[in-house]
Amino acid sequence: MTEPVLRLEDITRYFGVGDARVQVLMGIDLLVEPGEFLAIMGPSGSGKSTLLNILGCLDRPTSGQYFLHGEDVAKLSDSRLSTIRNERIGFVFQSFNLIPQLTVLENVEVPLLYAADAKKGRARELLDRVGLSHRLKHRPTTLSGGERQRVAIARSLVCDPVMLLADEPTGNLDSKTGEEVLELMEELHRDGRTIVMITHDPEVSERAQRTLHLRDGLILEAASA
Amino acid sequence: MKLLQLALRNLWGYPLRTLLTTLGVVFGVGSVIAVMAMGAGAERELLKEFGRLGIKNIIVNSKEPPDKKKDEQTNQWAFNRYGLTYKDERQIRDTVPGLSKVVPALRRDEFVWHGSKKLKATLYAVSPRYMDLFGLDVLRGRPLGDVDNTDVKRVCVIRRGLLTELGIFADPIGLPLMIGDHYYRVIGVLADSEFLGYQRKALNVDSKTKEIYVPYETVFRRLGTRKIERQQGARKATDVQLSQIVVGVENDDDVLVTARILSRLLDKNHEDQDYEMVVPLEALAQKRKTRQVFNYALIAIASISLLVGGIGIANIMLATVTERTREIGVRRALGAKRRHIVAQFLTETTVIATLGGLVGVGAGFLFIAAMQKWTGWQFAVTYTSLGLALSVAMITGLIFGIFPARRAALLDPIAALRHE
Repeated sequence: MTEPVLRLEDITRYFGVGDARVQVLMGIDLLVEPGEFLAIMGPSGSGKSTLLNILGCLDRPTSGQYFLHGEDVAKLSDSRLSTIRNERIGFVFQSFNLIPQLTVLENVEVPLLYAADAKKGRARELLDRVGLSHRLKHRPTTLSGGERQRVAIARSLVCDPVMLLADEPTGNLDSKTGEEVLELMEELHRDGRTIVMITHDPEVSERAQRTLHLRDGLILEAASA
Repeated sequence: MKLLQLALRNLWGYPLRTLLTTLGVVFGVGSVIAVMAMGAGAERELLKEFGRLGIKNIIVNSKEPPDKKKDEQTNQWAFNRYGLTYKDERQIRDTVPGLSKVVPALRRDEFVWHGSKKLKATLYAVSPRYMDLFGLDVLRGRPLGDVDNTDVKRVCVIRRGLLTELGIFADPIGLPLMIGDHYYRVIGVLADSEFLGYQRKALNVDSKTKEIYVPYETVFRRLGTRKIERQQGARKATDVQLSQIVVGVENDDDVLVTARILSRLLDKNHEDQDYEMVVPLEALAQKRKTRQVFNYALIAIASISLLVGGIGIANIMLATVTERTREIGVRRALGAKRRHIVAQFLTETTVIATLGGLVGVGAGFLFIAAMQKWTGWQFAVTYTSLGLALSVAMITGLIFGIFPARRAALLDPIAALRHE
């Protein structure tokens, strides 16, 4: 049996202290196998974003263990977490989060700035793959929403991460361009990439292999597609 | 390299803001450069003035004591005897240690005749060393030599301006001139270089360059130092053996001690205060000191504007950090460590400050050029001052960048990503 990409054991997360203390995650257990395409669904306030932040090593759980590729990352230093984000995780955001001052190519190259061994040619390769090789020198503001999200996906892949984390990747797109982005994600999945996607749209979650429902900080059911 | 490029890009993106941000540093650096150039220029001027005089020299001038005047009125026939003597000169030469030279000079006003043209000029009876001591360069002919002195020759070296005023336009070498009551042959012509301010005062000469130099021994041994002037019926009889002794000290450090020894020796020989001593080194030190205080005050003022410039940079960078919170969050999510963020913002502030510094250097030069044109002051831009001003600008950028950069780096990535 292959090693899981990530394993969460009884993850909890509190915010605030004393009376103002709010528990957002009540104890999450989760296993993601390599090459899986997982969707996490849930209403707002269910703890989706908090979970994603922990999965993405942007946040640390209050308690519990998080193994990423077998390494317990729950207690690592800020600097180590930065390296892990850089090398093993690719982020795709709802609002694309491209840097407006930089060109398309430069945006894709940003993670390489912080990588130990930067493969320069990869940025162009990936932009070619998402069909934007003719827009290398353009500014993000001159692109359509779908194009921007494709740039963001190229950026998330530039350091060859073990896992792609997508936070409502189609949330800001119309259905047609959203469809394009989803097709691209499916294509990546077919290539063997592990993808964890957050969404509240059942139609979108249907595209995934497996869907988890999150409510009030707990996973309700693990339904297989 | 990448950071530098990025910083330049970000600054380029907002040219007006960048310009305004740098303005403080521009003025700061500009004024530092201008002030330092002013100081260096003044120093150079001082050195020029004193250098010609020789800071290793001590100059003793004869001076008519004020209370002697009464004697002169009561007894018109007595010679008014005062000032330095041949004996002083010999004693200094023989007893004071550590001297490189002792050069006597006698100065007095005489009429110079050429044909029927008569002019009042200043006669200097000097030993030949006097000429190179004060940089009196001969344009034509030759300077006074030792032989002229030992052989008590009646020869003279004359200022060019005096020749023109006498109406001599042909080759003057070998020409006899009547100076006072005696004929001298012209052997050399001097350029009309005027003495500079302090030099003039120390050497006790006026600004006019109507000087004639003759061998000292000729005047002293052959003609005597007594002099009778008749002016509108009044008669003035004086006997001044030496009007000046220039003493050269071998070692810089001994100048002030030697000056004290000299004054003790002269005090013994002279009852009246009929001489005065000029120590250029002392005067130079004095002048330098006042200059320096002035310079420090100016540099302090200039530094304040640099400080204000730095605060301006910090202020704008703080605003920039707020504005770019989202970008910082994205970069952090993509793997930037805190130190990457710090480096990015520090590079930006340092670049902006250095740019300001460079522009400031340019502004300083412009200011200097303008001031030089309007005021005629001397400025000297030294490489040290350029380097100093630029590095201070860079350091200002660094220091005032630290606070905003730290602030950026310590932002919570999640909050930063959510920031609108």
